Amino acid sequence: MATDNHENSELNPFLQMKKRLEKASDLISVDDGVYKILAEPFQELAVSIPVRMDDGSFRVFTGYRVQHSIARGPAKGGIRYSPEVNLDEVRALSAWMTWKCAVVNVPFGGGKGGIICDPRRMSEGELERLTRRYTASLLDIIGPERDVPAPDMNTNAQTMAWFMDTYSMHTRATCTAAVTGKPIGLGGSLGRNEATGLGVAIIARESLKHKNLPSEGCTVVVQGSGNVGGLAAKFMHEMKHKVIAISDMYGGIHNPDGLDMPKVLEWLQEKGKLEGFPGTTNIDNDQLLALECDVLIPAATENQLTSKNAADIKAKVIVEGANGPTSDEADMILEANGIFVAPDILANAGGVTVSYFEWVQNRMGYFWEEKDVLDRMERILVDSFNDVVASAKRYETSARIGAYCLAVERVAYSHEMRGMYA
Amino acid sequence: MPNDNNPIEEPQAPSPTLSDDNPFASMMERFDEAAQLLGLDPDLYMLLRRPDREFKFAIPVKLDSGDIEVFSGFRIRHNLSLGPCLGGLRFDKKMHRDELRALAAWTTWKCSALNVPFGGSMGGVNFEPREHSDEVVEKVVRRYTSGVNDLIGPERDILIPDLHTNERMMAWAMDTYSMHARHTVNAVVVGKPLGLGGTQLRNSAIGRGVRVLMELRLSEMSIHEKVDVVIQGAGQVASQTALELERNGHRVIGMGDLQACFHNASGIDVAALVQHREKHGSLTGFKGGDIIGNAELLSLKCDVLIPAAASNQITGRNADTINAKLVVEAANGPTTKRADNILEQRGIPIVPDLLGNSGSVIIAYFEWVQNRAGYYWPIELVEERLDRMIVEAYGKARNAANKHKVGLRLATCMLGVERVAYFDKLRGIYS
Repeated sequence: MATDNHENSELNPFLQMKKRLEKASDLISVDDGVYKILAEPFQELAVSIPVRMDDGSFRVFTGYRVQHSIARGPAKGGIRYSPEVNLDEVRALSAWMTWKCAVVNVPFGGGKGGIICDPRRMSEGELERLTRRYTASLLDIIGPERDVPAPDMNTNAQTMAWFMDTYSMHTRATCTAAVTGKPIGLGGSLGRNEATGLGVAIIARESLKHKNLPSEGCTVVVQGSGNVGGLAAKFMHEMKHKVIAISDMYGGIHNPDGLDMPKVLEWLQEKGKLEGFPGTTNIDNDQLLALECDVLIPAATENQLTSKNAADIKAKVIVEGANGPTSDEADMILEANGIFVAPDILANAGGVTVSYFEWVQNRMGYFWEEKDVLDRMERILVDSFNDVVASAKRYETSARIGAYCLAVERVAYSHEMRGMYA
Repeated sequence: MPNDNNPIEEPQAPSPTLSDDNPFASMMERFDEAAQLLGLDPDLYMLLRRPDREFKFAIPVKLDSGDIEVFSGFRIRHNLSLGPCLGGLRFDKKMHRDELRALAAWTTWKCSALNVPFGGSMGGVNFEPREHSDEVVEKVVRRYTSGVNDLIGPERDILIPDLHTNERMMAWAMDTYSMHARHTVNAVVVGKPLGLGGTQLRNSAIGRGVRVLMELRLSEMSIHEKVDVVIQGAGQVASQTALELERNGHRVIGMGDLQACFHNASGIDVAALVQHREKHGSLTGFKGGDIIGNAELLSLKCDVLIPAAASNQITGRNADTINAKLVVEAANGPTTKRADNILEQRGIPIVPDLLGNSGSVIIAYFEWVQNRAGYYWPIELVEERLDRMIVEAYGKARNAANKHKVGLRLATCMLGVERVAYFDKLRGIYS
């Protein structure tokens, strides 16, 4: 629950973000004033969104858009629809976007948005009206040069198309670059769909190489089987690693001899849940995370690895497909146990990298082939991985704090060069 | 790392939830009551009670020491169905988000009741200007203005001075907005100095309104001669009210603030009192009357009592001691709900704050009108138009009170809510 987040700092994502920021800022000796600027969002807007419901009544929803930083370029980040949306979570996610964009060195700041609603209980028409009014309420602060949203939890290409249309109707000209994650043919980029999952697999590959582990035949456990977890598992399978367990919101399946991932995903598509896939045993979330394996990919939600279960983790490498799956307290335990953690702001940055490509293609009105998109993404991710490892080595710290050091350095540099307005 | 720079509670949802000790709780309560009496559609009332949007942003400023400090700026817009929003800019370290919400809503109802075509908003910075140099204050004003640049404007949201802000700061705000717009836009800010778009009567409109309403209400009570008045407060509002009354032949027999109160049965020399306060920063040492306590001041025998200082001054505890024939509220929310009931039982009528200090909103509106026209009214015209708007608003409130068989305070609230609800419904929901 939202209120619990405020009481327990280990579960409050914004406080978790600040802890890492503080550690990194100390290591690289950021100016106190610049630290103060980076510790709080640049601006945040809360809006009331009245929506006419199908039954004729109307309801007023609450929506947020937080821009953590615009020091390096327009704010960039997703919009989520969920009953659990709360301001501190949106703030943390927007800050993570700042660091993520800086780690992969794309010219964006960080933003994030959300609406407190239960999309499963709303009709298509209600969701469309909700999206359009929310877009209209944000008009003063968004735009291709200001803040570029993208899909997130419970939002998709259709949502982005409505968003783009509403924005365009107000500006009196089609403006595809106002939002990314659009449908192909409406300004969407080829490769956007697989970008995050493939990026996670690429970072896993680089992490294994870094830890001198074999380039094939490693055992892999994946938490989550959506667009990130499912595709990451598929790509790991294609790289000839052995995915031995994967889960969805109902539970996990396990086969120590390895899962045939394409078949698993087909099954999931067909049945709506993993449970019952032939040749597997059911396991729960705690068992899944504690499995003996080479690579663990938490690709579900926040706050999965905490001080409570970090000591049980037996993986050699953790690659964070989700945002914020590991608490700072858990980081300490994992580091002491010699486990390499490829942090979220690096590991799942494939998504924002291709979002950046989508924005670039929209701005020039010329579209790249899928291979170009994915090759360019791979180059950026591999370079970023090496930058992060070098930064961690330089400051004698973990890959996570190394990544934060790299990101904070880049953002702080922008602030110092731009100076203080007014 | 704890952020001691930001004491403001964060919202889970932007709906004003007020605690009992919040002075605005009773104000909002009255509007809930008004909505109920009007039989407002609950969906519509939920929409009206919530701010349209809340904006929070960082204000990084380089201090004189060279260090960077980051303050938090706010702009809350409550409702825009009647026109652009009007809302204060206050500097207050202890600012509370709920208070800003309530003030924004308050302004919506107030403009509506007064037939001023504005909605309500409110904004501020958690900043104490007296702890900083003029240069730093100017930077904060400028950075605030550029932070809300996309949200404000003559057709969107207009700034007006409030707690710890003044006409000089409004000039900086106007200048910053104009620099961004690449041309002078004086209608984005009201309360400006004369010559920069400020209007005649800007420093005496509230006092004039209080006097007009007082005389109007007294004449209904068949009191047509000059009266003896007690004024609580010695700040801007209290001083201009006292001067206005004195100019019009009334006698101020008691006046003062928390530091010192004075009684003089033959009339206090108001001009001397105001001068003393300007010169010494407080009333301490003023010789124009007998020194009395604040409780004594409120219970002085007089014709009219004018609370013109803070909220929650006439309460359940002291309402019995009030010894006036009429109370005219110049401050916001000086009378609690319990005191309201006691005064009603005792047959002491009240001219409520919504009407009592309406001069501030009306003069703000006139400044905006003159800025838009680029044509400035002579003082006689401003006076005549101010009087007319106040008298009309009073008449409408009086009719509503008779129609709904409620007190003037509740009637004014109902008038305010009813118009906004009506126009919101006519405009419909955009999506």
